[in-house]
Amino acid sequence: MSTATIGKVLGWISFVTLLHSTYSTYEHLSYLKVVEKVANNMPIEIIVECLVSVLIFSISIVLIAGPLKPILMKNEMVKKSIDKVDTRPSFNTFNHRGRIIKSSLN
Amino acid sequence: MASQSPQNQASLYVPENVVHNTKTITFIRSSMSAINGSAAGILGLTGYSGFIFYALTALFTSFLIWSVKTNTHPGIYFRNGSDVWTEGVFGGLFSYVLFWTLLYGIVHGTYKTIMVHLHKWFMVNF
Repeated sequence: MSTATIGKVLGWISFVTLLHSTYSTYEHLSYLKVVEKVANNMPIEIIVECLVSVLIFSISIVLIAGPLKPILMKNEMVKKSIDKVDTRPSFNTFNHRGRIIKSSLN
Repeated sequence: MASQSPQNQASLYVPENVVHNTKTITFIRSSMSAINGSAAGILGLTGYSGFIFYALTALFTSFLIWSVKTNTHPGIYFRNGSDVWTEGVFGGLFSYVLFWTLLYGIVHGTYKTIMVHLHKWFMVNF
């Protein structure tokens, strides 16, 4: 399994647990309203579930995002051959003998 | 030294890779801002505590990028090594506030329309 697949699975797990903690918070608040208590502190289980799902999500996002690429031209040029460099558009020549040969053929 | 002139400075880096790295960092930052904003809304943070939570989570995100993505050598992937700590932090703040207020309104708000429907659906189906 590739790292991106593992990341996606972890991301979905954390998303579902975050939704569950949302629903639990709502349930707890409506329970407090029914028994007519003042909401001062949330239960520690819900807070821990929420924070743990955020932690899992951060790991999954780092896994999903692909690797960074080194930006130094020096390191990039090591991998290229001289033929590849010479055929780049800057070296195209349009003012060559082909024009005369083509007109003499007509 | 010849490499100090602006022309040579520009050809020192591969532009496609610079853009690719910036895009990757922006993706991580915006996703993290959204999910951290949701968490702040669920936890019911208000006022300064929400912004302190953002500062902490943004610092944690930067640490993750620095340690996992750049392997503690940000100089290889960014023109300026400290970009890894600052890139997109203020852009992420706006999506953080968006999700923070949205989830706070859904869970702790006065009307709670979405949650009432969800609760009814659960009561009927389970």
